[in-house]
Amino acid sequence: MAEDADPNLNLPEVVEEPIVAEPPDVPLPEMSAEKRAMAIGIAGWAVPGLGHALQKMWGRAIVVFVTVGILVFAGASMRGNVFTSHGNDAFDTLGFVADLGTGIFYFGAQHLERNGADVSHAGGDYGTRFLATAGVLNLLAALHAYEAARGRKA
Amino acid sequence: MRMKRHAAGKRERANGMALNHFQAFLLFAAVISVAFGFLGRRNPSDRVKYILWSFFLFLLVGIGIAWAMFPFSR
Repeated sequence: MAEDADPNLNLPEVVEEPIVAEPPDVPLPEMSAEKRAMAIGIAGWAVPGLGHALQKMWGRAIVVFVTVGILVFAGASMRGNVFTSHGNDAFDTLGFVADLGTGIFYFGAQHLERNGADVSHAGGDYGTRFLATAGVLNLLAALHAYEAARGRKA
Repeated sequence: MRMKRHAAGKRERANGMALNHFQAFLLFAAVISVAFGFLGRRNPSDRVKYILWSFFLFLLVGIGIAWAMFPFSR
């Protein structure tokens, strides 16, 4: 029957368009985006750079991991004080919170310091500052990753 | 001579990494500047400018404070 059809008929050409699934108009629930951002922030704190890596910010992830790692390694190698939760005063507790900011590197620093801290010389004192700075820097990076996950300009 | 060097090496190992004040200061300034540059700027050229400027300011402020404190150090 198709052979009987007049070839001069101007039938519209059928163009096959790829089938693309349209995104649903329903916006993501507010809480799930917030929870995701929180999870990214916590991941960034636990493993330096992971918060950025989860968002495919590879350069920032590597730099955060390396800089926090260098500071922790230098601080522990200089025999800085790695504070524990059994502090004697508020400054020890603050130091513990700052050191804990390095996430898993905190345990690495404890492992590196086999001879214990020695703040009787300047190197040990510098080491203590390096460790605290590493923790605060990592907390700053985790906060940055959290803000980026929430869609703020980063 | 060899014994002296051996003793010094042993002491250094016991004391950990031995950096003088200026080396520790340079290491700190460099590492923090790089971290701030990458976190604070997105464009690569802006990052380089920020890192260099931040490093320079770290040195300037650190040496400035050290210089201001020098008369009281003895």
